[in-house]
Amino acid sequence: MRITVVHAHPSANSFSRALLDTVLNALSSHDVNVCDLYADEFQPALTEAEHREYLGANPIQDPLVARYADNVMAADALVFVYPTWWSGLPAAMKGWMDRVLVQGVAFGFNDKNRVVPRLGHVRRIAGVTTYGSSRLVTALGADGGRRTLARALRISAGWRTRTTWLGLHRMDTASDEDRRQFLDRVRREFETW
Amino acid sequence: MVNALVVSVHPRTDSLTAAARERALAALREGRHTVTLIDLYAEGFDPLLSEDEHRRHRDPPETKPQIADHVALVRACEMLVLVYPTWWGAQPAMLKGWFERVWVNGVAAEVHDDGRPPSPLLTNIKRIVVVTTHGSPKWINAIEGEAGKRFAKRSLRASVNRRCRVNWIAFYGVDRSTHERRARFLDRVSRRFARIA
Repeated sequence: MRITVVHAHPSANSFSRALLDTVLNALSSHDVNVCDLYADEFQPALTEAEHREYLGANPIQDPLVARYADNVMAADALVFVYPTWWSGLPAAMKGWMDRVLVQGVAFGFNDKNRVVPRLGHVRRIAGVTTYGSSRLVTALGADGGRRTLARALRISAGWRTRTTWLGLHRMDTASDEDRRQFLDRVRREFETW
Repeated sequence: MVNALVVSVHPRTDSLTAAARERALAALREGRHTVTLIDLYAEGFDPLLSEDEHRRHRDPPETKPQIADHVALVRACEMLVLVYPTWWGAQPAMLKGWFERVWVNGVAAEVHDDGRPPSPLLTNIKRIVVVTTHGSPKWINAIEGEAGKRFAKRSLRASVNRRCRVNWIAFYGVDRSTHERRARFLDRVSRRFARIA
């Protein structure tokens, strides 16, 4: 499979980085490219010029965004690795959606101005994330990252697209053993891909 | 009379969001409230939590002068008004980043080491009003899970006053909307804020 992995964490020695490395190792037999948002110095705020082209011919105006968009358009699967902050995606990753998943990449408009999904080629979407909160609090709260990726984004892919969700809860008090087990679970999941 | 903080997010000054913000500001001023505006795009706010801020996320906010102005405003307001376009079911990165960088430990909540849930610190905030627009119709947003709405109605509650009310003033279906529908939405914003006022 051609797989695009999107990662957002400011620190090079974070647990999120360890999760990314585990995912990449497990997927080594596939054709994988990585959008490492902090390392690539990706700027998350959709610009005024980009917004003016929301319905136009040039919604993408930045070479890095264009590269990311090419990766997405060629992908059979999308994998997102990130820490859950404020119950959702870090701004870097939300900005990746705002700026990369635009008209012509993730969706189009038909002649009645209705949205037409464009990510039918994406057969799998996976999220790998850490939560500060417990499983219960996450379920009762927003769980915005999961809703955004496994539901909002999935609509642009289609109902036959499989979603996989791997979360480590209570990250702040997780023991080394908890973390090791979670890394193991992530490795086993992606080795089956 | 309340002290209202309006946080507005849109890259364009000719947007429906900007027009809605102007209606909200006008109605609040009409009601003689004290109104402060933070326009994140206009002031060039950087939404990226840096490596340094992440490493020091438990440090006291007083050690982070780069967020001091916004922290003071958040601590002083009784009403928080968020005006933004909903993209991909949630807040734009610019607004998400504002919460990540400004609503930190010691500002939004106090994290405890003994496993107790964090204590809210922004008990000054007794009302949150969200004004937002959605490109797609309401039923699509329902399937998408309304992450932005849940953030406002649930996640923020952990940091504000126990009796805080959350008002959701939303417009759905901008992509296929008529001029008349957009005008009616703006009138609705004015009416709602006049009633709050």
